[in-house]
Amino acid sequence: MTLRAIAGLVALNAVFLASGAAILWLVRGWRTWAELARLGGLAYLVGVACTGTCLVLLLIAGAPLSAWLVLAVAGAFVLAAALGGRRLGRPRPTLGTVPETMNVFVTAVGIAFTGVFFEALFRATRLSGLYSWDAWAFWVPKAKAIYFYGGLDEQFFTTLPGAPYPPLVPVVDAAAFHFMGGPDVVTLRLQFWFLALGFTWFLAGVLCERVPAWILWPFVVLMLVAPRFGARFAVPEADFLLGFFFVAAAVLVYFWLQEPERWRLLIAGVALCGLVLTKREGVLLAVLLLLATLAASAPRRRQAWPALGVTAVVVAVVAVPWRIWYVVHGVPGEGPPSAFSIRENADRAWPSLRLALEVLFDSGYWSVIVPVAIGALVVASLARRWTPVLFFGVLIALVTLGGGWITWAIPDLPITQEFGGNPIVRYMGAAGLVSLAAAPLLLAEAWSRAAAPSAPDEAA
Amino acid sequence: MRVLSWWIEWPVGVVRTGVVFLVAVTAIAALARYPEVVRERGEVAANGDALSYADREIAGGNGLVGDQQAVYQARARIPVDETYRVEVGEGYRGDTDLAATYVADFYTYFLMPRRPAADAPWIICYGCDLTRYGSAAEVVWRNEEEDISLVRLRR
Repeated sequence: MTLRAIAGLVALNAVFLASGAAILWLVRGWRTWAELARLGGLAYLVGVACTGTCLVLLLIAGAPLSAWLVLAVAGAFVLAAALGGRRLGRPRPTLGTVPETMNVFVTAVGIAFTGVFFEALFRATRLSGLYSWDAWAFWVPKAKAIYFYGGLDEQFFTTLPGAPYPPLVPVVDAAAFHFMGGPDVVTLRLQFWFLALGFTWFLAGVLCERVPAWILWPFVVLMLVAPRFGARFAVPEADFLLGFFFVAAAVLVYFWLQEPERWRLLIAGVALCGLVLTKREGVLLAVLLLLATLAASAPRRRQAWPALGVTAVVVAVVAVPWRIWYVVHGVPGEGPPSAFSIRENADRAWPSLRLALEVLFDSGYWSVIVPVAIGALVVASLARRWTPVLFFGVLIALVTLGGGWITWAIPDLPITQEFGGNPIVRYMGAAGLVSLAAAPLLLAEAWSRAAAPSAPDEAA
Repeated sequence: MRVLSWWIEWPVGVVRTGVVFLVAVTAIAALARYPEVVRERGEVAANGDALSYADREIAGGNGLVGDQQAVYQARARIPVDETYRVEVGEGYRGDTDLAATYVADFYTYFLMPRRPAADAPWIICYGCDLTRYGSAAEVVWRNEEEDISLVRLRR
């Protein structure tokens, strides 16, 4: 643990932020500096997804990872975005003001709570080690292998546990090692602190566009203190980055459903590319998000579905090379053995689904997030806000069914919430996080309807 | 009365009440846990501060490796371009039930970039019978109490 290592991590994450900000400038422009500050978390996640995805694809193609390669990829994004943005006539940002929904007092209190939490988490994280089995047994060894050998070393990437897991997190970790100046496994946890900070910034900054501050900030603070979130965000595993990308994609897709600006779907596609290269569950979550979006966009399917089809194809194209790599190298597949056989394990179907539901409603993991999200769905239904109800209701239901399907389709998994035996709690983190993002959006929609009761009902 | 009807009229009043109720529940749940969570992080930081660098670096391996010196001796003595293997004797129990099963995985992580190999000249022995390596085996480090040895095979 040295100041040099911390400075290296700051530099790496500044590179992610800069590349994401440049990409957003290309696709949507920055009207004001205040807007850039508000959407900095989105820019950061876009930077991680874009740079990480490119690095993964380059490693699969045989390029050796180095700090220079990270800088070259991020620099290429910045340069391309700058040239493209100028060509598209994107304006330079002006000073600007904050959105009307951003009540300054409530926002200041929310930022203060968040700041104190992240300061405490920073102190706890920078003096901790790798205690989680998954972290030292395969996530960090894979990162070390990339750092020491430059690429996807065949011996380690085919024999370590979790061999078919996609390598985006090890690639980000290896980039962190390069920027820190060595494989400092103690300081590495701070990289996950940065990811958590970026996601929190994303959540507050993007949602405040539509959610009044008094509705939004209690949910942000609740996320930080929920037993399975917050303090665990700095564990060097892939579960939370998976959830971050999933929620980012879901929120952007929802905004696109409400206001079909093309850049939102484009950036959701970027988050989905990160999602499918972060963990094997990412493919399942991407498919479920696509299904929920298809359902919610059915009334205007002629415009929406072709765009969704193109996005799905791009995400699939990004997901395929890693799957080819591990098949070519003889690694057993990541899919469950009886994925679609209804007859096999029929007796496990209900216990598996019940397990997913028990985890979903367990306040020991997500505090009151899920019951509040269900309540928000009911309230938004009363307010006849059908698009958010349909989209988030279907999405949460599908993710829960997906959790049941995983346990059911892998007969070796015991029906248990025990972390070492069944990944259900890790997986359901995606349902918990998306419920957390959905609830304030649903409540804000309902409140806006209640504030203007003469507004027309939304068509179902 | 007008104020009351603003909150209960069907359906918008009920919607207002529902929104405020759910936000209040969320805020109470968040504020109730917040001090405890921040205090816990402080305690974790204080506990981390009290650890040695070795405790922090080995972290999850502390319950597996028996003696921190074993992993540091292995890292110091095995050249980075040579291979090693971890052998665990049948009778080895270790500090925890997990030690025999997972100690080799921990060395894989800790000793990188050194590679594990079945025919490696370096052997990290946990409770194994050293006599079976014959006269070619040179014990370069040993912890008698924990029955851990670092052995080099001369070829």
